[in-house]
Amino acid sequence: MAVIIDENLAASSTSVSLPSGPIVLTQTLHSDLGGEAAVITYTLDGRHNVVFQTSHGQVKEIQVKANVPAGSRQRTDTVRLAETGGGTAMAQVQIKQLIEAETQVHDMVMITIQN
Amino acid sequence: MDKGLRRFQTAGGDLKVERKNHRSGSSGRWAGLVWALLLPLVARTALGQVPPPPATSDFDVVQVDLNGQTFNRVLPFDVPFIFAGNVPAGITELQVRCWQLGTTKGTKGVKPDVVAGKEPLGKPADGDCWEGKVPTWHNTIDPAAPNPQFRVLVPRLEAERYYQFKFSFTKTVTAQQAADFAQQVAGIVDAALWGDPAVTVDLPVSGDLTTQELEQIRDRLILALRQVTGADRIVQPGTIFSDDAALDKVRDELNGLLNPVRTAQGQIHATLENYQDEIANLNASLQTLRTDATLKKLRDALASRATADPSAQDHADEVAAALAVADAPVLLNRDRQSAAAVAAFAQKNAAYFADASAKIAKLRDLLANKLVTADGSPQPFLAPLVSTGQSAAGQLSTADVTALVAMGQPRGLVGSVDRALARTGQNMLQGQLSNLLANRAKAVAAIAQEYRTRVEGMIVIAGSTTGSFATQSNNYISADTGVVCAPALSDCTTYAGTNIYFRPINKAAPLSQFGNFFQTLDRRLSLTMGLTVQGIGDDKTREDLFNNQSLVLGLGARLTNSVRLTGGALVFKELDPNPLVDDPKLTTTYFFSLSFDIDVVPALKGIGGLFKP
Repeated sequence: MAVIIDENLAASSTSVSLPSGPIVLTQTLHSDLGGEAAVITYTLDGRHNVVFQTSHGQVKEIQVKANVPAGSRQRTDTVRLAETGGGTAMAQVQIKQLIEAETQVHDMVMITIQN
Repeated sequence: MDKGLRRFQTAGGDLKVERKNHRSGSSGRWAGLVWALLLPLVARTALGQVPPPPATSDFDVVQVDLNGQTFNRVLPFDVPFIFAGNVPAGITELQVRCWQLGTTKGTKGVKPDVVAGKEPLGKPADGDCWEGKVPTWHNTIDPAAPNPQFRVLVPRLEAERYYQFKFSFTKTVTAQQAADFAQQVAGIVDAALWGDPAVTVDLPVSGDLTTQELEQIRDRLILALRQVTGADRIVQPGTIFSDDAALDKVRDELNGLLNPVRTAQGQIHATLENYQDEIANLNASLQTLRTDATLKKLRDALASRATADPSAQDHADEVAAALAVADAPVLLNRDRQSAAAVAAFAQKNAAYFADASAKIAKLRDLLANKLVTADGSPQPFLAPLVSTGQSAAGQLSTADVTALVAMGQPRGLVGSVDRALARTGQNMLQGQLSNLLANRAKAVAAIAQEYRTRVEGMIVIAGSTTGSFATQSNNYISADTGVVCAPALSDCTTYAGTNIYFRPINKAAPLSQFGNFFQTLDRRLSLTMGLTVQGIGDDKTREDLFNNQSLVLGLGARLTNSVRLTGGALVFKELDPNPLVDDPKLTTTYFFSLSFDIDVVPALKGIGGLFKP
């Protein structure tokens, strides 16, 4: 892993009802290679019916590209959650994050689903 | 001569015949026998089988030992009575529930099969003795006062029955109990969220959370609160602990509180995964480094130069130390069994990473910065070791030097190992993981503190359920006295007798509470047996059965609680009209009597008291 997590992923709102408003995911990273390109993938578990709501529809995975600098820098991505079908038995869902650069780094954040 | 007559001459010469009561000895013995039979009964009933009410109350008082779940006496029947006893400090309310278990008749003392501490199965929750009523005592004194005592008046019970009781106290959770509960919460949340090592290998648990899993955590919290407070129900409305808490509320409240813990925990899980991935690559790189021929050549060349140049020995030692770095510690399942185990792993291996990082960093510095000058030529200490042509034994080639310098670059073998050690040791274990563990511990403590605050002063109900207890069953007999009149004899006299009922009777219970005359017939009717106090004999036509007493046998009914009308047979002796015949015959005549209970006599303030229904 050449990308180093300085501050773990955090959500602007950890408790949402579905469909949710925008959830800003914040994280502070740096690279020990003096800066590098990374691909960041956010995923939701495929076994439940909570999905990301995007302009292209409802998906379980979102991918973004980023440049991780040598110095610590905070970066953000914004997602929205929705549910397919009526209601969900999920009380909390985790948004998993995979950062692929020189190596792979995992992080996550837990979102509470309100009634 | 008739042995029954005693003849003697009077002074006037008349023959006086005196009827000799030749059976008086026998009659006296019979009378004595009857009295012997009656007196204990009369005395017993007159003294009263029902204990006299305490001076401070008209009600019987039954002392309750809530800890021992026992009473100090057989329970009275047919009359309301008072349960009294000590309750723990802090009790604000006490409720009594009662269940009928069956009759004591024919059970030969074998109690119904109930379990003390457990309510009877299949019975109404609020009991079935008192039509769903739940007698309640409210503590109007300071609940915090020491040794509070309760007194609660309960409705009547039936005679000859087994009953089971439950005493429920309403109390508030004390500060100490809240503190104890907070400790339990921390333990429960910590263990439940981290996961069970016996079930899950990949700890800590880091998945999504279902509503069902939330319910399980809530159940464990409720159980802990009950254990800490001794309560069996939490009735405080609006909390997730109360039985009627809405599922939505439970879900939202627990969700909100658990989220920080689960987020920290999920990130711990992710960090451990990252560590494992890193270590797998790092150890492979270390293995490559340890076996790298060029590095060994450098080490050996520097060592051979040490005699001529002592600084070369230092560099030789640096290379040797780096080549001796062992594999990085691998995280085993046992290291992930708890947050404490993870913390211990990080702490235990801090020294390895500090040592390894220092050694590899020196090698990287040597390779990247100290082997060659800015123009690429070997440094003075290295120059004698670099052959210009083909390298000889103990010498480095120019290509070797180039390769060594490349190894020291960030993406080179040594540079990569150096960075990996810094990431895993410094960033992950000592930095990120320590922070996440601290965040998780803080979040767990916050939940515990939150619930400590929430439960302090909360209203809970503790219960003490007794085994089976029987009501009194031997009050079949009473004593009374009154006037018996035999119309056929045109005579009235007083008598004392005993009444034998067909069911247990509590004379303290007003008849009116059981219904009208006919509905209470079984409580009114009794057989009467007694003796007249004055004789009914006239020495002409009749004489008493025993000396001056005749036998009273009848069937009576209580008109009021204490006044009885009885009809029956008066048993006496009929004399032969012929004075010379001394052969009395046993005979009877009907009678009516009006009587009242002997045991009420002392309590009577006036005759009017007799006629209260």
